[in-house]
Amino acid sequence: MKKILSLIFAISLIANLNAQNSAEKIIAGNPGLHIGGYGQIDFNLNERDGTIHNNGKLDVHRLVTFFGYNFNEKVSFVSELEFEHVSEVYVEQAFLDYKIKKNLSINAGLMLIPMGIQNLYHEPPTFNGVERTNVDKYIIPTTWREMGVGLSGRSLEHSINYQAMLVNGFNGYNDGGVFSGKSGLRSGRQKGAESYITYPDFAARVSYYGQPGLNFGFSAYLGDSESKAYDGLDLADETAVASADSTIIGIQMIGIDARYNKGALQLTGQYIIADLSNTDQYNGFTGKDVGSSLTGYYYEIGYNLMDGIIPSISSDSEELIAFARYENYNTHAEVEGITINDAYNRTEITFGLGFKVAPGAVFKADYQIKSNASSDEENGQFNLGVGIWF
Amino acid sequence: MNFKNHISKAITVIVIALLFSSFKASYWELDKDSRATVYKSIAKIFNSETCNLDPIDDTFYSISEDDSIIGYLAVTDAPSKFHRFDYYVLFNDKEEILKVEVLHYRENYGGEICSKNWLKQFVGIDTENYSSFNREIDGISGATISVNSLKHNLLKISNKLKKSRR
Repeated sequence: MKKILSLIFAISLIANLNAQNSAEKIIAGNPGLHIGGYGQIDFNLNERDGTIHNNGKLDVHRLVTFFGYNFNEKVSFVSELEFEHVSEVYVEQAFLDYKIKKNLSINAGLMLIPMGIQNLYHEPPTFNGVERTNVDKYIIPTTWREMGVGLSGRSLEHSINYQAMLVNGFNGYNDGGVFSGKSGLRSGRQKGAESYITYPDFAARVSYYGQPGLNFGFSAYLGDSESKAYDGLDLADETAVASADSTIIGIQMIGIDARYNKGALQLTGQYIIADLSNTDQYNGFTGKDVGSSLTGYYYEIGYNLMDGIIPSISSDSEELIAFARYENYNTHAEVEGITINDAYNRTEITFGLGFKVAPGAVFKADYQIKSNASSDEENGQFNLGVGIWF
Repeated sequence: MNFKNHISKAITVIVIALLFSSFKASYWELDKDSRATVYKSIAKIFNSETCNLDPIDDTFYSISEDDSIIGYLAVTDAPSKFHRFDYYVLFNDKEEILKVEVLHYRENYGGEICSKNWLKQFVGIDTENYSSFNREIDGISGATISVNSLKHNLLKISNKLKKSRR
C-alpha cells in the first residue's frame, strides 16, 4: 500500500513539475487582458481656388481602442472599437483566434479583409503621409472588414504568411443602388452591423518575406455583392428573380504590393485592379454609374534623414522620414453601357515629412497636389497630423 | 512483507521525485520541437554530436566538449505586440553570435522576424556599439515592433553574457 502511495506521490511531484511549466508556457504567451489603440488627428487645408476661400478642417479623425484577451496559449479574442470624427462609433475588429497548431489559426467574427497594405496595416505610424492613400480608400475600401470565418497561418520554412477567409459580401442594393461611380464599392461595406448574406465571398492573401528587407504580397477577393432584393424573393417568379439578379455585381479584385527596407531607405508600391461584372444591368436597374473596372496604384520612396546622413541630427531613437508618393486611382478605368467620367481618374502627388519621436508616435506634415483627367486644374492641400499607436 | 524494504523503496522514489522537481526544466526543454531544433542546431554549428550542455542560469548554457567550453547557448523570450516569442542564440567561446532562430512566434502579425535570411544579419555583428548595431540591421515593413524588440533583447542578452564571462 505504501509503495502505491509513494508512487502516486512521485507521479504527483512530476505532474506538478509539468504543471509549473504549463504555467510558464502561458506566461510566455502573455495571458490576460491587453489594452492598446491608435489614433489619427488631422489638420487639412485646401488651397484657395482662385478667389474662392476654403476653411481649414481640424479633426480627431479616428481614435481606436484595442482590447484583446488571451484565454490561454491557444485561444485569444481581438477587438477594436473605433470613434470616427469623434461622434461615430464602429467596431473595427471582433474575432476569436484559435490556434489549431503552432503556426495555424482559425479566426471567426468581424475581420479585416486581407487586401493590399493599408487595410491590414493602417495604424498611422506605419504609413507615410497624414491621410491614408486614396487607392486604399476608393479602390480598396479601407477599413474593409466583414463577418466570416478564416484561416491564418505562416510557413517559417518558406517565409510565407497566408490568410484565407469566407465572408459576407458588400451590401450593393438596399431599396436602391449603394455602389457609385465616384467611390466604387466603398458605401457597400456592411462592417458587421446586422450584415446579411446570400452566398459567401472569398478573400485570401499570401505574403513572402524570404529576401531580407522585402515584403511582397498578393491578395485576391472573389464573389458577388449582396442584395436585399433576394430577401423574401419567390424563386418561382422568374421576372422577380431576373430583376433581383440586376441588383448584384460580381467582384474580382486582385492586388500586388511590395515593401522594401534597406537602411534608411523605404520603398513601397501597390497595384490593385477590381473587375466588376453585371455593372451594365446594375446601372440600368438602379440608375447608378458604377465602372466595370476599378484600378489604383501608388509608389513611394521614403528616407530616414536621422539615420546618419546628416551627422548633426543623427539619432538612434527618433526618425525623420522624408517621402514622396505618386498615386493614381480610377473608378472608371472601364465602363459598360455608360460613358467614362474622366473626373474619376484621379492623380495625387504627395511629399512631406514624418517625425517619429517614438516608434509609436509621429508628427506629420505633407503637401498634396490633386488632379483628375477631366481638366488641367490642380488643387493643393496642406496637411498636418499627429499619429499614435500603442 | 518486509516493512523496512518498503520504506527504503519509498524513500528512493521520493528522492528521485525531488531530484526531478529540483531540476527546473525550462519551457524549451519540455517542448519536443524546440528541444529538437536547438540540439540539431548545436550539432550543426559546432560540428559535434557529443558536446555537453550545462546550465549557467535561467537563460544561459555553456556548450563544452572534452571539458573545454566551445560556446554558449541562450534561450529566452521577448515581447511582440501582445504576446511573447521564444528564440535562442548560439555564441562561440568569444561570445560572438553564430546563430539566431525563433522557436515559437505567437502573434498574428510580425512573424517576418522568423525569416532565416533576415536573422542571418545578426551573425558576427558587433554588439558593443549600439549605434552601428542598430543601423546594420535592416527593418521589416509590417514587423517593426517585433524587429525592435528582438534587436533590443538580443543586445541585452549578448552584453549580459559578455559581462558574466569577464
